[in-house]
Amino acid sequence: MYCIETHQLTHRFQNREKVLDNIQLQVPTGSVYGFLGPNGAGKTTTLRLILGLLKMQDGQISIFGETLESNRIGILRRIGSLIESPSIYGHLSATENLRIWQLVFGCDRKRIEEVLKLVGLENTKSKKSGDFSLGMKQRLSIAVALLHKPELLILDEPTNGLDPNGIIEIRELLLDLNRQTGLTILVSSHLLPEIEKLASHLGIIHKGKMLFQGKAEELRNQKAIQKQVRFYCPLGDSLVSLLAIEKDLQIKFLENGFEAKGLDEEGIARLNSKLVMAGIPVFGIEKQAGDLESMFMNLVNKLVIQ
Amino acid sequence: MSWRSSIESEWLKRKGSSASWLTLAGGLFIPILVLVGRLVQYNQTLMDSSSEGVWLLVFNRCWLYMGVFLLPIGIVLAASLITQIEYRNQTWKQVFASPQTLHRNFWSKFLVVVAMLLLFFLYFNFGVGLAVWIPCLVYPEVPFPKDGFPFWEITERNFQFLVLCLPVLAIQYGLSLHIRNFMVPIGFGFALFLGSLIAMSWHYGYIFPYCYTAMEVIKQDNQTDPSMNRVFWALGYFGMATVLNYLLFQYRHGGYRFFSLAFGKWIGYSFLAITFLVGLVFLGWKIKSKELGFSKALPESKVVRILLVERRVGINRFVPEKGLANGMEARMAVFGIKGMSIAVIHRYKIDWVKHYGLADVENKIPVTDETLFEPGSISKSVHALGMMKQVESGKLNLFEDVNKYLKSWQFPYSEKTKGKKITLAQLLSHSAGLNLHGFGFTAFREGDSLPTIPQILEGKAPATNDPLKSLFEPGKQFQYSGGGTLLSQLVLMDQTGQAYAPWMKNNVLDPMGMKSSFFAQPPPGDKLKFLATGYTQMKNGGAVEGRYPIMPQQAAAGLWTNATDLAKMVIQVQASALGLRRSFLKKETTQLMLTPFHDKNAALGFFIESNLGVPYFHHEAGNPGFAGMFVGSMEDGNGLVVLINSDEGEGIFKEIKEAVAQTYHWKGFEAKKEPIVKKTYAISDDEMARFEGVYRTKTGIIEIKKKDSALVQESGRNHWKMYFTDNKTFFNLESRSIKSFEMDGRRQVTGIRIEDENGNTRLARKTHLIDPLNSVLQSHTGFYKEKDGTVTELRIQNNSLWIYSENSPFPMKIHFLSPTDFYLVEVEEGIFSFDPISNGKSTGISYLGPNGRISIAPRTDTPAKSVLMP
Repeated sequence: MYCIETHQLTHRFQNREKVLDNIQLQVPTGSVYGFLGPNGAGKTTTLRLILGLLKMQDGQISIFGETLESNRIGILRRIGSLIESPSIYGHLSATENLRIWQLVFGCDRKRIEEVLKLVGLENTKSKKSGDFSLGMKQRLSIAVALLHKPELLILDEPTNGLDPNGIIEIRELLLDLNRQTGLTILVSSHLLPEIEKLASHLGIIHKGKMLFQGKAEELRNQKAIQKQVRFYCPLGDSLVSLLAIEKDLQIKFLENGFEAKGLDEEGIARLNSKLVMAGIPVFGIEKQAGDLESMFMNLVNKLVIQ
Repeated sequence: MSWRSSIESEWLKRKGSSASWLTLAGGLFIPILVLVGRLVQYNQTLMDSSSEGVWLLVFNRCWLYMGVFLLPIGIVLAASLITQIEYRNQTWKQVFASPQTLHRNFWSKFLVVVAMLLLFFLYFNFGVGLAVWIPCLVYPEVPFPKDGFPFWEITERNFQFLVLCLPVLAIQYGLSLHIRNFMVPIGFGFALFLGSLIAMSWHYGYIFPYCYTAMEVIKQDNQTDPSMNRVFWALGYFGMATVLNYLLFQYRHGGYRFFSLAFGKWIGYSFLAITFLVGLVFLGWKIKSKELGFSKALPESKVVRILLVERRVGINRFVPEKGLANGMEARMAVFGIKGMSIAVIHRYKIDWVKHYGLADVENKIPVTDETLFEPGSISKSVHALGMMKQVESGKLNLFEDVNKYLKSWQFPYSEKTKGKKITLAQLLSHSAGLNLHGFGFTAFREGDSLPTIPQILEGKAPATNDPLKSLFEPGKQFQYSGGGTLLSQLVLMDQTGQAYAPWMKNNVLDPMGMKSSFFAQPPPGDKLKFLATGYTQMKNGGAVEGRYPIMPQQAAAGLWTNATDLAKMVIQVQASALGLRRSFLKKETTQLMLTPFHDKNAALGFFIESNLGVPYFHHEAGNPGFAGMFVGSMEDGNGLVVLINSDEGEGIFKEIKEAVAQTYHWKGFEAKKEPIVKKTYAISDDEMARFEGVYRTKTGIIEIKKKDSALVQESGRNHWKMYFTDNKTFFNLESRSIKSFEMDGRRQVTGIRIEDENGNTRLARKTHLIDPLNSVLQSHTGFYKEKDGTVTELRIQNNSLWIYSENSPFPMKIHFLSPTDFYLVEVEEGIFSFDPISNGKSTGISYLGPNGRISIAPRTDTPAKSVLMP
């Protein structure tokens, strides 16, 4: 059962450039869905479309099994969101900010205290939220999103501006909520390591295209097998017989060497020493790039490094 | 999750925002400036707060600045800022991701903007309240507003401005709702405002809505089509802009899909909006139709105020449908007045001065600002101010024996004074029991040698009057005495050791700003070209001999002045009574001066009259060829001065005073209803001839005469044109009663039935004037002495009997109804009768009042000295 499901979601900017191309997002109910992609990949556009903040051009979105057109208010009432920068009224205190949304959502006034405690802002009193640090503003925004006990939480880069401790705290908070209340969380980020520790599901988007979607473990597996290495060496029987022993590898012979898939870093070193020991000269080793898969790997690496 | 909570949440957002600070500051800014101004300008504040309508005065003063600039700009800023709260805090996305419909987003925000505007008005009115009240708390002399809070006027005015600024509000709300950068809507608003200000000088400028409020306060530079109803334009713009905003909002944020869904509801909301607009229009109309709100307001244009006074002069209960010759000139013609100056005082300021007719008929010189009149007894008021100045500085005591101060002459006390001493207070309030009523007969001409004051008081040549003497005990009763005034002039001259005219100029006229006035007699040569020529009844409206009388009796009758100067004097008296700083007299002195002394009307140099319990100070004046009057309210700074170069002023003075009091809503003068328009009937010459004659009521005489081919009703000094509504019924402009001729069976006129407003009728029976035989006239000649000691002489001249009285500046002709009964044209509503003849002479004169015969003047042997005029 998917909490959010998009079908062939496509979006263009005014200059006709495709921002989203055929996105099929599937967020399972009860999951923590990590929505990954570098800046400008289309994460925020997707989230805005889901919330109805952008006019939809092509495709479909269903949330809780309904569309926004059919039941906008009903759907929005069950969603808590934090899109891009913090949405808080700088001239008001944290409590007053929450009071606004408490009125709008019509939830219990006691929730204001509760969520303030939850995000650790209970001692800000009458301080204007405009004077908060970025981290505090971010926490307040999360408090706003959590105020009305939503079933679905949509967070766009929620840990922006938080210090490492803060990041951990928020992560723990979200995990707790997910475990205890079964809250579905759709959280976007451009940092893989941050999401890896949180997400049960991942979706990776790049240049408007969905590159990967699935459980977090699947990605880890994919990471392992996706390596493709080109060895430059003279072709000969000894080489063929040597490689025949390496059952795990997919080998493809080329004019001046071969390509191997399924090698991690150690595997490359190990294969290289085997070749050398067998008297086969290795002129060079090259990690391959090119098609969709290698592009994905580059991307994933990038997400890790950033 | 209701509308209420949506609006509440929107309301919460403005808390402490710059928009709400701006609303507070903008609303209070001008009232606080005005308040500071009022605190600094003590005199102005005292005058304003003592005047009627201080609420509206301050309110309108605040609106003047507010309407021109602050209100439109304030709205531009506040409406822009309140929507900018979402942009600046990047909260739109949160708003749109919340479970609220777009209508609710739009309208709850819009309502908050409107509420901010209402709050702005609330702050403003609160500020006006402070501006009115705080000076009263700071200065104990400044009175709290006496008249009630003009709720409807203020509400009406607020409402007007509210509606007029709605277009700006709606347009700015729309702009800032759709444009992210807040400088754009603000810049746009400023540009439109400036453009609209410029457009005010264009006929079609009303199509620019940004200066509707400015148009409301800048009347003069507003050249837009005045027939355009700005309120409707404003409502139209407001409605249009709001609907457009809403549609645009829906289109941008909802998209076509939401829009089609929302359409059903939208109809509902537009109904709401239309109801709101209709409600506004209805309320506006309701307030507009409340006459209460407008009847009290003074027309803003001075021209209209003058016109109102001129149109109301001489009009009472009825006006003819056609042929009404009203207006000041027409009334002057009725009374035979050649030239006139009027000054009207409102809120302690001269509101307007206007001149009518000719200062000199022969040379066709019009009355202008420079024309000077010599009205006579008004001199006594100006003189009294000088005396009080000396009293105030301790140089004179009001209650000392005047002989103590007199050096050049001493008043001869006689047995009549019963050992009592005469004081200045008595002299100034005509209660010293002295003779010498006026100096009308004893005026001089160019070339005459003039008497000194002691010569006048002693009755020695070249003075021609009786010597000053006591008639009865001082301080007992009112006895008008110009001689007494002159005695006080001598006191002043002896005390100061200076000539009267220069002393008065330096110490009274100049300090009060009466730059054109002077007491010098004869008038100095450089002033001659400004002096009006006097025209007198004694010569049937002809010029006084020597153009004007020369009055060496300066304090009593010798002031040359104009309406502007006298108005300044009235204002000085009012300002002194109010206790303004740097006013001519101290408050206490002025109050003493304006308090009736011995008599219930005569104060020191002024008379006090009460209209429905509201006191006014006044003085009338008459010299040969001139007359004048001034009246001033004691409390709220209203007043009037009228000067004419004829000696018959009473009628027109009364009419002008009535018209000014009506127009300026003087307290104590009941508001009159609009006159009833009557169709008139043209009566034939035959009918006129039948109606002519003399009619006698219980108490007086009415004469019907043909004058300029129309009938005129004359009684006493009243000459009232008759307007017929059928062949026997008529009315007069001047009177509130309706009259009709009664006829017997032979269609002979028997009398006039007079019906007043309340339906009471009385009858005037037709009677005939007779010309008694010369022997009868002869039996009535001689001297008669009234109770107050005034001696009257009756003389035969041109086969008629004339009365020469000390109390009258002119001889009065006796009109006989029988050999003994007579009346005087000059004495309204009175029939007199000679007492029976003894030794060939009548023994006295009696008055035939409603309660029977009362003896008023027995015959006496004392010769009257004052009878020198032909």
